[in-house]
Order: sequence, then structure tokens, then C-alpha cells
Amino acid sequence: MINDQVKLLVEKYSLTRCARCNFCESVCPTYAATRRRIHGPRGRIWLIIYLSQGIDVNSDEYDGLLSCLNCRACNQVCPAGIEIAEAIHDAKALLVRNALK
Amino acid sequence: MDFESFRAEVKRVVSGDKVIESRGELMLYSYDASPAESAIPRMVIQPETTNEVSEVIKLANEYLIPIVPSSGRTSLHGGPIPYNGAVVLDLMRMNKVLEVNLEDSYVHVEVGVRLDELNAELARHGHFFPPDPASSTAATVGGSLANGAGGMRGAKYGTVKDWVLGAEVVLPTGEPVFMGCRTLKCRAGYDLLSLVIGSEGTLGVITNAYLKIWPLPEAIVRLRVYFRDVVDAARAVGMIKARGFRPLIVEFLDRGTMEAVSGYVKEFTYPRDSEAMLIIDLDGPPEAMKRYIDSMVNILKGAGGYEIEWTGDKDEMDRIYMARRAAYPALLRLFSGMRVMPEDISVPPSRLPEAVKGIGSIASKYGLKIVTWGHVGDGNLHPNIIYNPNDQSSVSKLYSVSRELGLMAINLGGTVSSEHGIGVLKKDLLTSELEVKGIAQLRLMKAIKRVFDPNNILNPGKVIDID
Ligand SMILES: Cc1cc2nc3c(=O)[nH]c(=O)nc-3n(C[C@H](O)[C@H](O)[C@H](O)COP(=O)(O)OP(=O)(O)OC[C@H]3O[C@@H](n4cnc5c(N)ncnc54)[C@H](O)[C@@H]3O)c2cc1C
Ligand code: SF4
Ligand code: SF4
Repeated sequence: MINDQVKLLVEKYSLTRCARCNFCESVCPTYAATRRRIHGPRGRIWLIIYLSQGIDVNSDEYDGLLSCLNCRACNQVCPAGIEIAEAIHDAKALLVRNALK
Repeated sequence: MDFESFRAEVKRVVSGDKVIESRGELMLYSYDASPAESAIPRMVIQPETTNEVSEVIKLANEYLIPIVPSSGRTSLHGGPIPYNGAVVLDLMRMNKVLEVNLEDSYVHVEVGVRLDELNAELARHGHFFPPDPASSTAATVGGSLANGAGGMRGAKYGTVKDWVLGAEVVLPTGEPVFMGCRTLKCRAGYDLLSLVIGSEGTLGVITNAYLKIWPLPEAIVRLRVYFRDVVDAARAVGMIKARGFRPLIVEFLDRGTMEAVSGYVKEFTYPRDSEAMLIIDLDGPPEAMKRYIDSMVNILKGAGGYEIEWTGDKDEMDRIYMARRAAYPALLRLFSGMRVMPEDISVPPSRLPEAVKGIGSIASKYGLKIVTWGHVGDGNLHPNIIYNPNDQSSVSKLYSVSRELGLMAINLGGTVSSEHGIGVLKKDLLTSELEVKGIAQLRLMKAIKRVFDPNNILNPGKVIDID
């Protein structure tokens, strides 16, 4: 169920356009703080893609998504023009709603 | 290979929060920026000190666990991908600028510092580190040294190998050593440092380095010129060099690039009859600039250049450069559903006209779109191949085009990789190049790998196969 919703989200934001250039990670404050890729935009985008493919995320990875500050610094530098912050925001909402159920 | 014992020992030498084992997070280390096949590592370790790197590698060598150094993961040939259940050594936590020494003209830096961060720090001291890959926002010192990276300023300043004095390197057997010197001159026996630079993490893990730094240019003037024939643009580069100019950058953009940029940035326009554009930066003392510009304009006109514009004003310079800066984003945004593979070949600048024509023929032969730009001051072209990752025939054409581009470069006296490296995708092309230059070198390379890494644990299967 959640996978289907995440799939729609991946399509809505065309996340698979990600060229994996990693430009976004260098401006991300949460990655700078922890140096864990689950706390960076490229990592978060790919976690969402993996979720849509039915791969489970564990609690650390879940926190990785939730810890995004929605500061949008990543959006500014993404050469593919992905609305990274918005995609993560929507994914967070899905995960939280799903957890509350 | 007893992975359980290895895991237990690793946790004795580095604390648990530096060891990653959950599947989702491991998957974030399964790819780089290339189309190379992905592979999930068994474990990721994030050391913070040379000592931790050394202890981990000693264990990998003892338990025969393949181990792959990893930094920004922006590689374009699969270099940091952990095949065959390898463990990844993520060096991004080693991220301090340790010392800027203007008197001795070096910066001592840990490898996880990104090149733009390094240059921001150096600019505060009026200096810079010249090698400038287009990925410098994300590319690190370590990954760039290991990949032998270069960039636009290559024609004047070369690549990273010309800017490293010495480095702390952990050998594949785990011993930390200091290779090279802190001084500009250094004749301490065989030059092992040069072997490690560009070895793509196969001969040692670099943990910190002494890099040469240079004063920022006093003044820069930027010129922009169009050509009706790509061959004229390529010829202009040779003429510029023959007249004794060493511009800071000479960037070439073909018509496909201009078309793509104008589709993405509305303000960007170009003359409809132009087939190529050059952006040239000249640096030097302010009082010499007028003279430089006059001769440069003459050379460019003589080569068939027109609509020549030049400026020293920062905003205007940015406006001219937008065509180049927007080129990569333009390709990613315009060709939806497609991917871009930035290829990387070099030819002697005098052979650029033939290379540019050759790229056109290869594109038509395979029916794939190729958009080319390049740092042509040193003969380095980046033909960007646009392919469909979901169409097997398009992907196999991508590899054929890549191969033919490499073979063309070899035939023109050039090389199959100028700055991106070999990784896994260009091993065959490397062999082809060595067949021309003397295949005995492949034997030497294999022997060198065995001497450094008797158990073949450090980034095995990259650059060359040893058996
Ligand atoms: C959009 C784009 C544009 C690019 N433009 C250029 C360009 O203009 N010029 C250019 O040269 N390259 C370019 N590249 C390729 C790449 O970005 C560079 O080669 C870069 O320097 C790699 O740095 P990294 O930190 O990402 O290294 P990684 O990709 O993490 O690693 C590179 C290689 O080095 C090894 N390695 C990493 N760190 C170490 C270490 N500390 N010790 C030993 N081995 C190590 C890895 O195993 C791997 O084989 C581009 C890439 C992209 C995506
Ligand atoms: S929006 Fe989130 S992912 Fe993007 S830079 Fe800010 S914290 Fe990082
Ligand atoms: S900047 Fe954009 S294209 Fe590059 S890795 Fe981040 S999300 Fe992907």
C-alpha cells in the first residue's frame, strides 16, 4: 500500500532523473552535521526510490528522511531540477501517516 | 574469508557508530555517477584518522576482504563501486584543512575536504588550488587525487598530479607511509607518489596531502567568440598556443550545446549560423591585458571567429560563462527520460579538427545524440552521449560509441581518458591504448599492483585485472 503511494511520489517528482552527481550533498546542513548519507539529499532521494521498489527502511533510515529540515538548499544546486525538498517532505508525510495508522 | 571474525575485529578498532550495516544505507554506496552496474557493499566503515584506516586495512588484508575507498562518489567510470561483496571505506569524515602555509606555498588537507571548500579557504589567503573538475562542489581532495582529476584550467595548470607535493598513504597491507615531500623539489628514490595519484584507490588509501597552492590571478579578462565551422574553432586553439598564449581556460561548445542551453536559459541567444563557440579567459597583470586582448582578437579573427566580445566586469563575465555553466543542467532537463554520459578523451590540440569531425561521424553511425564541449586548450573533449537507460539497444549503443570515441582518440595520438579515469568501464580501452604504446606496460602495471597489494584486496578489478 505504502509502496504504491511512494511509487506515485517517485513519478510525480520524476526522482529517477537523479544523475547521482552529488552536488546536493555538499550544501545540505544535515549531511554536514552527521556525514551520514541517509542525512543527505541524494541519499534521501534514493531511499525513497528504494522504498517504492519494496525495500524496507529501518528506523535509522526512517530518521534519515524525517531529519530533513526542508531548507531547500539542495533544490538550488540540482542540475536535473528535481524538487528534492518537496519530494522528501511528501515522503515524510506518507511515512508518518502510515505509522499513525 | 571469515566475515564474522572480520566484523568483530573491525568493531574493536573503530567505534560502532562508524560502521554501517543496514541494507538501505548500504545501498547508497552501490553506485557512482556512471552507468556502471551497481553493487551493494557488505559493510561501510567511516574512519576519522589515518590510524583507523590503517587498522581496518590491516584486518581486510588479514581476512582477505576486498575493500573500496570512497569519497564524493562522483566518479564517471565505476571506480568506487564495491563489487563482489566488498567493504566500503567512506573517507568523508576526514574533512579538515590542517594548515595553510603561504611561506612554503602549500596547504595540508585531509582527503574528505571538497575542492570548492578548499578553494574557499585558500581564497581568504589570496591563493587557490588550480585543478578544477566541473564536479568541484562535490568532488573531494582524496577522490580527485585518486582519479587524477583535472578541469578547465588544465591547459595552463595541468591536473592534480602537478599540484601534489606529498601525501600520507595507507598501503594495502595497512602500513601508513608518507610519500613525496613537503618541499617543491623531491628526489627521494623512485617516485611512488606519482604511482598512487591516478591509481583510483588500487595502490593505497590517501588520508591527507600537502598540495601546492598558487596566488590568485591579478586580473582576468573573458572573451567569447563564435565560428561558422567547428573545424575553425578547433584550429583557433592551435593558433592561440602557437602564438605563445597560455589562457587560463579555453572552453569549446558545439552547436548542440548552444541549442540545448538556449532551450533551457531563455536569455541565451547565439548567431544562427554559428557551429561552435569558444570562451577564453586570459589572466595576468592588469596593465598587460589590453595588449593580450588585441593580439587574441587578431588571432581569433584570423581563424574565422566573429561576434567577438570581451569583458573584465564580473557580472558580464558570469553572463558569458552561463552558456557553459548551464550546459550540463540543460542536457539533464531537456532530454526527459534519457541519461547523459559525459565521455572524456584527449587529442593533441593540432588534431582537434579531426576529432570534432570524428565525433559527428560516430554519432550518426549509431544514431545517438552527442553534444560536445571540452577544455580544448589541452585537447580535452567531453562528448556527452545521450542514451535511454531503459532501452537495451540504446545502452549497448552507448558502450559502442564510447569505445569508438576512445579508439579514435588513440588513432589521433591522444588518450582514452584525460581526467575521469578508467574504473571498470574503460579497462578494454586502456588495453587498446597500451597495445599501441607497448603492451609490455600492462605486465608492469599488473606487477606493480601485486607488489603494492599482494592479496589484491584494495579496490580489486578496477583499472586493470591482475589475472
Ligand atoms: C557532472 C560531473 C562532472 C565531472 N567533471 C569532471 C571534470 O571536469 N574533470 C574531472 O577530472 N572529473 C570530472 N568528473 C568526475 C569526478 O567528479 C572526479 O574525478 C572527482 O575528482 C572524483 O572525486 P570524488 O571525491 O567524487 O571521488 P570518488 O568518486 O568517491 O572516488 C574516485 C576514485 O578514487 C578512489 N578513492 C576515493 N577516495 C580515495 C582516497 N582517499 N584514497 C584512495 N582512493 C580513493 C575511489 O575508490 C574511486 O576509484 C565529473 C563528474 C560529474 C558527475
Ligand atoms: S531540504 Fe533537506 S535534504 Fe535538502 S539541503 Fe535542506 S536538509 Fe538537506
Ligand atoms: S543534485 Fe540532483 S541530480 Fe545530483 S545527486 Fe542530487 S538529486 Fe541527484
